[in-house]
This record gives sequence, C-alpha cells and structure tokens, in this order.
Amino acid sequence: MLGSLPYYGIMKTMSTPGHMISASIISLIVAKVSPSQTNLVYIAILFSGIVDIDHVVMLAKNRTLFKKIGFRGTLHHARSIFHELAGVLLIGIASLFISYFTGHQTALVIFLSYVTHLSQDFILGKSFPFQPFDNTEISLFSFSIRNKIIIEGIVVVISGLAWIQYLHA
Amino acid sequence: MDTIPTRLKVAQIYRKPLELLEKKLLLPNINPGIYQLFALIASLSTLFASTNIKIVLLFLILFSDWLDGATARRYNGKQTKTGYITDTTIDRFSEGFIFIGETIHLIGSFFYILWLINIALNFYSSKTKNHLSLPLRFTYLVYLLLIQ
Repeated sequence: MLGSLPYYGIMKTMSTPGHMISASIISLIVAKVSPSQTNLVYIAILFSGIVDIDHVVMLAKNRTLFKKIGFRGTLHHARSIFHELAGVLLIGIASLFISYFTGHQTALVIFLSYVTHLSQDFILGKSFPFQPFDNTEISLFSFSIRNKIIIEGIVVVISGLAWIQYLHA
Repeated sequence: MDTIPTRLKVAQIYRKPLELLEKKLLLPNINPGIYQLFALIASLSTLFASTNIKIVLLFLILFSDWLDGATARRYNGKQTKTGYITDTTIDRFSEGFIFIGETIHLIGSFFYILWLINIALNFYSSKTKNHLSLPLRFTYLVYLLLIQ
C-alpha cells in the first residue's frame, strides 16, 4: 500500500518536486515566458519550491514535538507563516516592488510560482491561513493520503507533458 | 477567536435580498470546496482573458462564491469558523490571481494595492471579530462594465 511507505506517510500535501514541476509551468505559460528566457525559467522553478525550506527549518526547530507526534500526516505542523496568507501578503508586496524596478513579467513569474504553490497546498492539505493571528486548522477537501498521491501523480504527468510541449514550442 | 467575525450593518443591504433568493434556489448537496476550486481556476484564467471574457469570468467567480456560502448554510446549518476562514482565504487567493495580471496599468495597480490591504483586513477581522473586507472583485466587475 502506498500509504504505508514512509515518504508518502509524511506527505500531507504535494511534494516539493511536484510543486516545482507544476507551479512553475503554470507561471511560465501565464506570464508568456519563452523557453529562451532561461533566467525567468530558473526563477519560476526556484520560487515554486523555495517556500518548502520552512519544512526543514521547522522540523529541525521542533524536533522534540515531531519525535512525540511522529511524521505521518503531520507535516502541516512544520509550516511557517510564509506558507500561509501572511506569506501571500509578503510576496504580494515584494512583487509590487519587483514590478516597478525589474519588470512586470518577472513579478508575475515570482508571484504566480509562489502563490500557486500555496494554493495547491491549501487545496490538497491542511493549513492555518490566519497564522500568526489565529491557529485554526483548515482543510478544503478531506483527501486520504492515497488519493493525494493519485492527484499528485496526475498533476505531475500533465505538468510534465506541458513542460515537453513548452520546451518544444 | 471561536466566533465568526460579524459583518457590518451596511452589508445587510445586499445580503438580505440574496438570502431571500437563496431559499428558492435548487442547490445540490456537494462539498462547497468544489465551487471554491472553480473560483480559483477561473481567477487564474482571467490572466489569459480579454476584457469581455474577464467580465464573464468575474461574474462566474462571484456567483460560485455565493453558491458556496449558500450550500454551506443550507446543508451545514449555521456558519462555522472554519468555513469563514476557508471562504476568506480562497477569496484572497482569487483576488491575488486576478489583480497581479492588472498591475500593468494604473487602475489595476490600485486594485492590487487594495487587495494587499484586504489581506491585512482579514487579520484585523480575526483579531477584532468585526468582519471588514473590500468587495474588490465586484467593484472591478463594475469598472470593467463601465469602460466597455
């Protein structure tokens, strides 16, 4: 059973590679970035996954707690405010400045890569959107871990095909 | 915060007629999250769209927002705190996707800044228990209709 594998047991939302493949291609297509604009392609991939660094930091910071509660289905507790609405606000402000100083397309790529990642987490997993002001846990759909793996598989395959199409365009 | 932030009295002007209309509506008993997911996808689609398509999409987004609230009220009884937070969070994601594409012009940048303020207002609402939110998508729909 997929759910009994250690890696998938931890996964309560999409995996970081899943985010990087899917959120980046969405932002590149929407922002009309051509494959020859390699810097923007790298930025899209980077900002699609960068927020997951907080999992590593929070897991290290709260290792005593995670030793107690285990890792199975608890990764949503290893989220900082950058994974919540406060993170959307911060990237929103940053994008505004980037838009004025660097260009609209760069701002669009950064914003969409980051916010698409957060919205994927919000749709598939559990989150605490109003942190640090309110700690209410939210779950839009109650997917089982098995269903999440199937959804991630479908998203990755579709995104992979979109990447092939994008790079050959 | 265990209670839902209360809405301003001025909101009753449009909420009362909507509530009356809501009672006559045929609503399937489905997860309101489906409407919210549709609103998110439609919001992302506005980034590709021409002005006319944007008007249609904004109308559909607002309609699905209303349907998700109506479904939750009919089948889950009273509004819950989790429902309130889910709804407002999806609204902010939706507005973000719509207005980031509009920062290319002045009016769009103005709406984008108001969206940032709207997120801050969400935090303020959760602390004060008074719901404060700017109806940005509706206002933008009216603006688009006026410039057509």
